[in-house]
Amino acid sequence: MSGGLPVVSPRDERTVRALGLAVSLTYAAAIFWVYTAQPQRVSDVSGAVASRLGTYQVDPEAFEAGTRHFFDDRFREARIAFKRADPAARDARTQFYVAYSFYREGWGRLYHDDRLYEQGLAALQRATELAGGVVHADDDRLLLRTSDELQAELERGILREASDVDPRRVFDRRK
Amino acid sequence: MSDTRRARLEAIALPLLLLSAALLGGIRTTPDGALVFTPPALMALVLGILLLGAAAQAGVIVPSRLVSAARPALANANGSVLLAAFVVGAAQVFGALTPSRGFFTLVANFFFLTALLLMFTARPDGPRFLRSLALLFGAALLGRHVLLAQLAPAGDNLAGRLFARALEGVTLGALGLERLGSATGYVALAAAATLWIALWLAQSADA
Repeated sequence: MSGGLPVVSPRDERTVRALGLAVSLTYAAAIFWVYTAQPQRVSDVSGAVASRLGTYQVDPEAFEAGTRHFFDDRFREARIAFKRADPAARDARTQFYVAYSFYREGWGRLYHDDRLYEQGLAALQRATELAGGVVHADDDRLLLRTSDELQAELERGILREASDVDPRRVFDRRK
Repeated sequence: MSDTRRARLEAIALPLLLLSAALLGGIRTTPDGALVFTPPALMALVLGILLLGAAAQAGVIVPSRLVSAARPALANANGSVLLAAFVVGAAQVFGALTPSRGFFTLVANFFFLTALLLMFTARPDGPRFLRSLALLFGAALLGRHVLLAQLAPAGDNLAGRLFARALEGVTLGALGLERLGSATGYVALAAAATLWIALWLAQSADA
C-alpha cells in the first residue's frame, strides 16, 4: 500500500483501527490455538470450543453402552461407544475408561501388548490433562480406580525387566 | 481512497485475509480424512520475507508506509499486524506448495528462490508482480498437488502402491513421495488464492 500517510482525526477511523486490531489479534490467537492443539476432526474443534464454554456434554446412553461392552470384555466395541459418547475426547472420565480398555485388551498372562499399552498411556494422558490432575473413577467394579494406579500398571507392562521371564507371572491377575 | 476506507482495508480486510491464508496454508489432510496443522518451516519463512521484499519493491505492500514514526501508535499497530500476517501467510502458502520431504523439496525451494530473485532483478510494477506471482503459485500447485500426487501411492490400488514402491526404490527414497488426502490440494489452492486476493486488494487500493 503506497498511498499517502493517513490522517487520524475522524473518530470512526480510530474505531475501525481499534476494532480491526482486536479482531485480528483474536483471530491470530485462535489460529495459534488450532496449531497448538492439533485437532484432527472438525468435531474436535467444536468440542473444544463447547468445552471452554461449558456446554460440552457426554452422551450418557453411549457411555452406558461403552461401560457395558467394557465389562463384557468387548473392548473394541466399548471404544466405539466411548467415541460416540465423547466425540471430541474432552471428557476425563470417558478417556479414563478408554485407557482402561487398552490396558485390559493388552493384558496377557504370558505377555502384554506394548502397542495397546502405549495407546492406553496416550488416552490416560488426555484424561489427566482434561481433569487437570488425577482422575478418580467412581466405579466399584474397577480394581484400578485412579489414573495414577492405571498409569503405573501400563508403564510396568511396557517396561522390560527380569520379572518378565519369571514363571510365577502366569498367576498374575488382570486388574 | 478515503482514510476511513484505507483504515478498513489496512486494519480489517487485509489482516483477516492474510491470517486466513496462514491458517489454510498449514492444513494437510491424511488419506483417512484427519486434519494435520503444519507450522511454517524456516525456509518457508525466509521465502515469505523475500516475497514481502518483492511486494515492497513492486509497490504493493510497502512496510515503511505501514509502520513509521510519523503514524499514530494505533495505525502502527495495524501495520505491524498486517506485515506479520503477510510474512506468516506467505510462508504458509509456500509451505503448502512445497513437498514436505525428499529431493523435490530442494527443487521447489530452489524454484521459489530463483523466481523471487528474478522478481527483485526485473523490478516489475504492481500488476506485473501479481501476474508473476499467480504463475509462480499455479506452477507450484500443479507440480506438487497434481503431478507429484499422481506418483504417490494410491490408497487401495495395489498396482499404484507397487509402482510407487518401485519408484521409491529406484530413486533410493529421494523422491520422498507422501500420501495426502485429496482435500489438501484444494485447501492449498484456497490458501494461495486468498494470499493473492489480499495482494490484489492492496495493489488496487493504491492504483
